[in-house]
Amino acid sequence: MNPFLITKILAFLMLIIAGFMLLPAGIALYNSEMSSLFSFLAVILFIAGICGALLYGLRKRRAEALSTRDGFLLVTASWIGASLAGALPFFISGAIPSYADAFFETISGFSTTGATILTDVEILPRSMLFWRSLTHWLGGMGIVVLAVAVLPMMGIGGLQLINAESPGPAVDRITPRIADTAKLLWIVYLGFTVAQTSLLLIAGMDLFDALTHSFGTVATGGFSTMNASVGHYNSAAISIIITVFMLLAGISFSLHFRVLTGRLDSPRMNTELKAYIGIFLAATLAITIGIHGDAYDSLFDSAVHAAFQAASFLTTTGFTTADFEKWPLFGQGVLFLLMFVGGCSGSTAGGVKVFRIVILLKQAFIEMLYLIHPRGIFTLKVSGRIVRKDLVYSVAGFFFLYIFILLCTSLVVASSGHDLTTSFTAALTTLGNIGPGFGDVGPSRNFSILPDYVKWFLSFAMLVGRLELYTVLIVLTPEFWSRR
Amino acid sequence: MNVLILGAGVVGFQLAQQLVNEGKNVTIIEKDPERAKYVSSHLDCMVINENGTHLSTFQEAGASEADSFISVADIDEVNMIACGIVSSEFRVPIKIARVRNADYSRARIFEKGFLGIDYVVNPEVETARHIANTVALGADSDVMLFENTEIQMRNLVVDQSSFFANRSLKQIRKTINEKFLVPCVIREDSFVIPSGDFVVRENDNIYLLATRKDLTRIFMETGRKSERLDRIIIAGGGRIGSLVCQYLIRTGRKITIIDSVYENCKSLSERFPDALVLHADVSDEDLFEEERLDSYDLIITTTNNEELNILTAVYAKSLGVKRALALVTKSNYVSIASRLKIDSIVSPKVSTVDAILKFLRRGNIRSVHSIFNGMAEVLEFKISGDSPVIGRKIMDISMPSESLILSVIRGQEQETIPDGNFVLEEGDTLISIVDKKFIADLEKSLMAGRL
Repeated sequence: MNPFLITKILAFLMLIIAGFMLLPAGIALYNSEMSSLFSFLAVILFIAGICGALLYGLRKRRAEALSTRDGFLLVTASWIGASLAGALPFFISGAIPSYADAFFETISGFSTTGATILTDVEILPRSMLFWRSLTHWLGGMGIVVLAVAVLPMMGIGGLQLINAESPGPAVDRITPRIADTAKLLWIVYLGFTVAQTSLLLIAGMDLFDALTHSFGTVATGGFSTMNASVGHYNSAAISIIITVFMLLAGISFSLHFRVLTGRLDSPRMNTELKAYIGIFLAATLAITIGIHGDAYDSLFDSAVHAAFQAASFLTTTGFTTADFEKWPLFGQGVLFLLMFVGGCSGSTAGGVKVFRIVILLKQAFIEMLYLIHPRGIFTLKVSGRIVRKDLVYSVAGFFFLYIFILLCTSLVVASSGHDLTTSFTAALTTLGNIGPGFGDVGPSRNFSILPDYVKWFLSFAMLVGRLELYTVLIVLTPEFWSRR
Repeated sequence: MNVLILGAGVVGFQLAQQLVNEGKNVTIIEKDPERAKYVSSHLDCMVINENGTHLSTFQEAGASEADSFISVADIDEVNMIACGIVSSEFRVPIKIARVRNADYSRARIFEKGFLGIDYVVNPEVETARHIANTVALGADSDVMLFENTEIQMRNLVVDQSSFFANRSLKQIRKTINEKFLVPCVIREDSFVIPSGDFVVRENDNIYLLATRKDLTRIFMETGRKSERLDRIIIAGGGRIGSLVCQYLIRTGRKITIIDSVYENCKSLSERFPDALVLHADVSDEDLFEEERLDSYDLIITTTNNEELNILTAVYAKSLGVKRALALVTKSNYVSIASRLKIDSIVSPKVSTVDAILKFLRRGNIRSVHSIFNGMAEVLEFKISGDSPVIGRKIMDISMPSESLILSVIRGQEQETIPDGNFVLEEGDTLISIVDKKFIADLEKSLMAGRL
């Protein structure tokens, strides 16, 4: 354990968060939203004061290397810290009067969940809406990844941090130095954001909406500035642009980098990517068949809505263009199943991840082969590479733990007196960082009806889901803190 | 600078670690998945877990952009072939292969660009040379030699009764007349550049820099006699042991080699008719008495077993052998061994890494010595005509804080330990010490911008 170094990096991270708060503060000034401006400036000064004092106090401490354990603690602490501080502007300005609600909304933002406790989003000040979407964008690629990219001298410690934060089994290096990898990933991420914003501007959105929706899309978050989410615009062009970018954001960003720089001959070799696209196409087709002639008359409308909703659930974004609870049950069933999948590893998406599903399915198939040929030897391969047994074990362990936490969370929601559909999908949607669920937390409703203790627990579930279970959970074990 | 390393064994790992710390982009190819996992979680470098002789592996590892390729896999032939593949398929300017087999490494073919290999490093030869040099200088400490100068650096582990213990460097300087410097101290596994008020404590490993004569005098004044090392035991007659014997027997010393394998003993006795070859186990309790080994001047332990090397050296010293030199590779053992009063410790790993680094940095850099597992390096380099520091005082040069210019050599053996007003000239050779993290910074501030 290395408390001084952890405090130091944590203080740096909080300063980065405070720096980003200058953006909504600027918007508040531009729109003369005085109470918002005041609350942002107060929070910025507060963070800068504390962190500045800490950094000044610790400036002479020699930096030692960060251990793996330190990495887990630091990442968990920085996400909690960022959410605690990020909730303050909502709370101080009175935009969200309850701190439990403000915290839920902020962690839903950072964890790119997109679940909201706001009944009427559109009455919020513009600066608050912008901050809400910006939390998505920061959380999407990861605040710690950003810190590793920006802070020099992190060395091998940076790798521990990124591994603890990034989705998927292990970070896919694209350069020898981890700081360079982090930098390039953020550049690709920024590039996608700029590209999508420009396309949305061309499709007719104003700059504010285009920017906030791009933040929500590339981070696979799902906060919209409109009550009816993307359905508000009722434009096929906008739906298609967002569908495409949701799908892109659900793919590994290091894969994007390789393809964009021509370092990969053929992305077709990638099993995970093939499975991901396959799942998306099959789901879209199934939903289109299910809703065509019922919810929508034209085949084009059905396909656009089906594709949008399938992409939104598969990539765990959570935007909606329609109240899918009014759809025929088959379409809803497909969406429900997609909530279990999630995007690819190394993407900004949440959920179990296609990679793990692929490995588990292949392993299940191999088990069958072993039963047929008891003397046979079979190798599990993904993307043409042999998957070692310990990875299969760790994926199986992950999947079981995921389901276990899911059931526990459902139980907590159910204890507040909600029906099974609501409880289960509320748990699934927060743990998988998706956003809307079914029943009382469906697309036309929100999480405000839940009591405070459930909101706190779901906030915890969102954090656990975003940091892929282990990072947060091991910090809670006594073993982690023992000196052994 | 991009460096591609094949093989993440002890040497590959150490080399990668030092290069990563300097800020180079390192990619390692390692075929063992467990080892690959270990390396990728301990070093900030890219690890490719593939077999090292496939063309596709080199492509994946970015050989087309590499500035140097270092092959330190376990098998000589793999290293040579890997260099051959890399030089025929890619344009990597520097290719280094580790070749253990002396029949290969001594062959002239490498001078003619065989398989495109620019430099062959033979760890056994490097280590044996290092041992022979240390013995020639009395084997009373680890020795770092520099080119074209009488200046040397030696270390000394301070024990309770030592002259140095509990005195500040200022006090020590008052009592010793010779000119010397204490450029660094290793205390509790960390590296310190001490100031005048620094108080030396027990168990500190202090390094002294001075000319050869002065160092010998300092060692004598502070209670260490220099011994004539005429009768030497070499425990372990493997490749390193036999090479050491070959180097030392030429100097007319009496050598006794002990090896536990009969075939080795047989061939040793054929090769070295003047040496006494004993077929015995060094850990055998009767051996020292029977052969009266306790009356020898020096024991050199070179078996493949590091623990046995340390124990045998300590045991021999306790019986009365005057000096002991042990071959130790594991870095945590190095610090233990020096506390156990083994006079000199030679690590084949460090010798190999130093030899490779010296070749990699060739040009203005004359020699490289890693201190304490690569925590710091002592570099010797020449000021070339395009250096930005020519004509400037040392105090005016912006150097990283964790570095120090120890000595300036001008012309033939005119070495000085400079003060801040010393003005540097073209052609001067500097000896400097620098913390591992600032090696690149130091190179930048002292050399022209062509690195």
